[in-house]
Parts: sequence; C-alpha cells; structure tokens
Amino acid sequence: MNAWTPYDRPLDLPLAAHLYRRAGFAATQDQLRQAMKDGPQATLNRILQPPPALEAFERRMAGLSGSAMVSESAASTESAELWIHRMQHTPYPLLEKMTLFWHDYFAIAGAQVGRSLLMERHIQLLRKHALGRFDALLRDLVRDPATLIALNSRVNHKSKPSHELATALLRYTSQQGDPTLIARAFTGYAVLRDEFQFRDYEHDSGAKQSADDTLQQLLQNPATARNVVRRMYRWLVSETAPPGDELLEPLAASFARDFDIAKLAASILRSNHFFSEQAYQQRVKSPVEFAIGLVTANDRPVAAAKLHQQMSAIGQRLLEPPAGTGWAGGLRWLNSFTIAGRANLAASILPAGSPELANAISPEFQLS
Amino acid sequence: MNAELTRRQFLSAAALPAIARASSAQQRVLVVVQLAGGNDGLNTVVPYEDDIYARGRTTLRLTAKDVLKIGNGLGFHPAMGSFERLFKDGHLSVVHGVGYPAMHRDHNAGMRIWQTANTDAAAEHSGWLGRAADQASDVYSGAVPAVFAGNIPQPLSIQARQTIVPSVHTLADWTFPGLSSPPPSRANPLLKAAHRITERGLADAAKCAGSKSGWNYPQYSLAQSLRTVANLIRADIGIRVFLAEQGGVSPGGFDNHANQAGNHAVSLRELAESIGAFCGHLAHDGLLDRVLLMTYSEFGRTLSENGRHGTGHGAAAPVFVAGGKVMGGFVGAHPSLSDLEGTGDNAAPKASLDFRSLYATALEEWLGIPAAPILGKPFPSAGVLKS
Repeated sequence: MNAWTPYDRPLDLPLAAHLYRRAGFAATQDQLRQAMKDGPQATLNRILQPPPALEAFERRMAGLSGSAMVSESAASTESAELWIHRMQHTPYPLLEKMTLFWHDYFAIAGAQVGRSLLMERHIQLLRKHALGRFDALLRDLVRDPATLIALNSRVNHKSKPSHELATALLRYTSQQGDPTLIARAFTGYAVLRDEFQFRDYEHDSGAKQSADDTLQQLLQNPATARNVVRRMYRWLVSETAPPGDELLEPLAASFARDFDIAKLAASILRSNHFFSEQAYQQRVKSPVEFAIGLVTANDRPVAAAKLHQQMSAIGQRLLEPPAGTGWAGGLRWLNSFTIAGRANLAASILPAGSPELANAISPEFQLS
Repeated sequence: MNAELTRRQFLSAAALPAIARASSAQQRVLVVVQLAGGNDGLNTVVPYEDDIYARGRTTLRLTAKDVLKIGNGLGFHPAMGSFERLFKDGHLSVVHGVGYPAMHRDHNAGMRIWQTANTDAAAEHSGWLGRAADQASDVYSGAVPAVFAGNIPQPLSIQARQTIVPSVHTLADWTFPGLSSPPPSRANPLLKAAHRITERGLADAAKCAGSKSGWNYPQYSLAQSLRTVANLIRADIGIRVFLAEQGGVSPGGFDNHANQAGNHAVSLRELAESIGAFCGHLAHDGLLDRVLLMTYSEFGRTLSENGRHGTGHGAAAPVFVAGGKVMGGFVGAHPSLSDLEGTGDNAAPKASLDFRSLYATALEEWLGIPAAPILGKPFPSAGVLKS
C-alpha cells in the first residue's frame, strides 16, 4: 500500500477527529457524525474547498482589521487578538491553520517590527498565499515591510548589506550558500512610510545577480522544495519521527514542479500515511491548537484578548515566535507549569466536573 | 533505513523513565534582579570622600554624615540599611565598575545588551538566562528550569529559544485544578511522555500549595516577587533560574533625569528591603547557601548633575551579589572619577569588569552550566564566590 495514495476506508470516530484536528483545530459533534457518514475523501473535499460563507466572513474581518486600534499600536497584541478572533470563528479553518504554518516557518516577530499595522499586513500576506504558490509567497515576502524590518533591512545599504535577510533566505530554503553574495543582491531594498521601496542609488551595481535571479536560483534548488515538504510533514503528520528522504521524495518532486501549497497539503491529508499510526497522536498541540481546539469543539467562543493572554502564559505568544526557526514545538510545549496552565485554561471555559473538562485535562488531549 | 534508526532512537529516548531527579535539595539556584532605567551607582555606593564626586553632585551629593559607611571611603545610600546589614554579615558583595567598553546610553539598546549578553544584540531573540534554561532543560521530564517572577511582560533576559519559561506572579498561579493522577497510558511514547509530565505537573502543584510561608515581606512589588521566588525554592521542584525585576518597562523607574533625590531613595529602599527580606527568609529556612542573587541595570549615570536635580545616562555601575556563598566585601576597585568615559557633562564611570564575567561566574561556577555557548565566548571568572 503506497504511503501517499488516497485513503479509502471508512472513518471511525478517532480518525475523523484526527483529520479535523490537523486540517483545522477541532471538529464539532455534527462534523464528526457527518465525516463518519461521508468517508475520508468526501470529507476532505469539503475541508479543502473555501466554503461559500467565507466571503461574508472576510468582509466582516476586513472591517475589524481597519480599526485604528490595530493600525496605530507598536505592540503586536491587537493583531494577535484579531487573528485569535478569526481562528475561533472562521468557516475555513484550514486556511488559518496554514497561515499559522507559514508564520511558524518564516518566524517574523512583532517585537522586532514594532508596528502592529505592518504585522497585520504581514499575516494578511501569509494568508493570501497560505494555500497558493510558494514561489509567489517568497517573492512577496522579500518585499514585505514587516519582514524587511525584522531582518534588519529597513534600509539595505550598498555599504552595509543586511546579513540577516540573506541568512534568513538561506534558512527558509535550507541551503548553504554565501550570505554576502545574496545580501548584495538585495541592496537597495528599503521600507519607507510603511511601504516597500527600491532605492536604485543604494543598489550595489557590482552584485553578481539581481534579487529576482537570486530568488529564482534558491527556488530551483531541490533543497527548497524538500525543506517545505519536511516542515509541512512535521506540521500535518508527525513531530516524533523525522521522515526519511525516500518517503518524502514523491511529494518533494511534485512540489518542486509547481510549488502548489494546496496540492501538497491535500496530498498529505488524503493519504494512507496520514490516517496511519505514523501520524495518529504523533504531535503535541501547540497552545494555539489547544485553546482554539477547545473553543471550537465545544462551541464556546472566548474573548480574544483573554485567550491571547492565556495562550501566552502557556508558552505561545502569537506574532512573537521566540527564534528565527519558529517555535520549538513537540514536547517542548509541555512542562510541569504549562500542563497545569492548560488545565486552568480549560477550567476557565468548561463547566467544573464536566466530562468535557476531564477530557481536556487528560494527557491524550494534549496531543494532536 | 535512516528514518527507522532515528525513529528507534526517538522511541528509546521518549520511553526513558522519569530521570531520577538529582536530589534537588543540593541544587543551586540563581536569582537575577533587573533594575530598569539605569541606576545611579554613584549615589548607591557613594564615594563620599571623593572631591570630584562632591563637585559633580552639587545638590544630590551625599556626605559622610548621610551615608551608611562600609569602608574604603564608601557608603551605602541612607535608604539602604538592609544592604548595610547584609554587607556586614558577609552575605552581600559590591562588585565595582561593571559594564563593557563604550557603553550604550540608550535605554532599549543598552538593556538589550545586558539581557542578551551580546554587545551586538539587534538580531538576538533570546536572553542569557533563557539560553541557560535551554541548556538545563530535560524535555522529557517536564521540569521547569526557569521562572520569571513579576507583573510585566517577560524581559528578554529570560526568553529562551526552546524552553517555555513561565511568568509566575504568586504561588497561587501554580495550581492544577481538579484532577487526580491520570490512569497510565498505552503504547504511544509521546502519550507516555505527556502522561509523565502531567503527573509531574500534579506533584509540583501540590508542592507549591504546601510551600506557602508566613515570612514577613514588605509590600513592595519586588518584595512580593521575591517572596514568590523564595516559596518556589522552598517547594523544591527543581527550578534553577529566577528573574525578578524592579523599575518596570522601559524607560524604567531608576531613570531619574529630574528631582532624583526623593525618587532614588524610594527605589533604593525597595531594592534593599526586598532583598533583605528575601535573604532573611532563606537564611531562616537554611536555604541561603543554595542561592546566588545578582542585580543588573542597563547603565549607571553621569558624574555631573544636569541642572534639574537629576543625572544623565551614564556607563559602568556597581552590581550587587548576595547569598550564603559570596565572598562578601568589595570586588574590584571603585572606578576612578578622574578617568571617565565620555566628556563634559556626559562623563561617567568607566567599566573595569565585563558584565559577562559575572554572568559566566553565575552560570558556570555557580550553576555548573557551561557559559561559553551561552555568552558566545569564554569570559574569565569574576571571582565573587567563596572557593
């Protein structure tokens, strides 16, 4: 049985819940019943497609994100809360889950940007491409003001090319290369009044390659596709066992041809491997997955500000990843304090003594 | 093949029994106190006999009859009676002239340097205590290696790359609602680890609940944070590193550009009485020998007053270390006031000891955690501990 061919057996309750946890945050009882009736592939057709309700939802969210509170603040708190509100109410959870994936992947931290408006636009950029094409995502990212500021490229001077931007690009594409060469290609990139700007006079005319050619070359190296596939495997399938190259090769080869993120995610989620014990309960829920999952499964939305504070207290402050490589994840999420903190978070949402609360406090519930 | 091997390695690591906890009653603990704003070293440990000091501080000057004399022509600010007692008992050392060459005089940039232990810190996301926590933590045991005790967002010093560092305001934050020990789980090693960590969480919460103490602390915010630290040390749950803070968020309560005298006295009284109560509590419980406390602030202040009865951003300043195993007395020599960093009104004491030597001492000599990987390179010992 091929690992990546579509899974075609019926879904039992644990596997239906597994699918909804990974492709979103959690399922309601109705969704679980429906999934068991419809089977995996029909359920995935529904999960992968943007639902009709999305358009109206996006209009409502656009109204909220234009508010002065979000745009004028230096701290990332308001943008993070807006995102938490969105995650709790979206009709298209897969999109938010994948936006979160790219946030973890590129790991741009609001504290280094110092402007909520730009973090808000950064996340919108990630969301726009979250299920689109990786090459387009990367090309937009290097012109994204938040990204440039966080990577010490507010002005990328000819005389002092930003090493941080170059090393980040090498990290994003998992390549060894000369950061100095890459840095020179991006001289002249700058941010002025919250917008990207190319300053011709700051561009190093002696650079061997243009920025566009440099990106193209990074993208063409098979290491790039392999790195995205490896990270997405960790995100959607398993944090416990690093997959072998031969397992990932078919996905990586296909992704290298079209950089189609939605197709890659669909191939993984539809597969035999995804519904096997190689994947089941092989991830630890992040605080965001834990809290949003709790809220959506029980249909008990919580004020975003409160949830943001609670998730931060147990180790995940949205929009503030702790390192250039994102959150460490896995068992790093759990320690003696955070496990108690998760229980307190659950107890603040669910009725005391309820079976739902007992479930939320159990070791099983900490896993995805 | 390769994947299978890695998987097996993972499984065997995950299936290890909870590491027998090195009797944590033997474990040493580091407590760091951040003082935000740039504390005026010259009016904290006062060179009251120095004419240059007297001329520089036209209205803020503290004289022989104001200060609490501690020898070498130096005296503590009069609000620091608690420090005088600790100093005379040999439980507090004054480390002179701590800093680094050409110190940054901007609050944020300066503080980042002390927090990251990196003088080129713009791109650094993690702090020196956070990286120490990363070195100390054993992912599978569930132990919490480091805690921030305070009410502001976590300072960068204790932000880790991998470890989740809790912010704990009071002991009551560390509770685990309504669950008895969960039934042991089945084959999945990740589930077993989650199970083990849950049990550890229950056990640690129970120890915290049993660790409340009636020791009397003043009402200051720093004192309340240190009370939490003392109770967590008493709870004996394996935390090695604590950060507390006074002065809040940038620019911070020690930043006295105008009318310094009253504000500074209030700040120093809080500092001295809080640390005094903390050390008294630990000594009473027989724990002082296991604890090393250290302060830092982003810079000292200018020698000269600024015409508004305040002082400007300066350079080096004294650091305080306290505990049962400090050498006591002075470490190094008081900075010369005739050889300063900066000119004119900006002139301020120069560093004679790199702050990272103190960090290295705290990490390596005290906690037994290799310091060079955390600080980027080796630094010589500052020699503040009893051998």
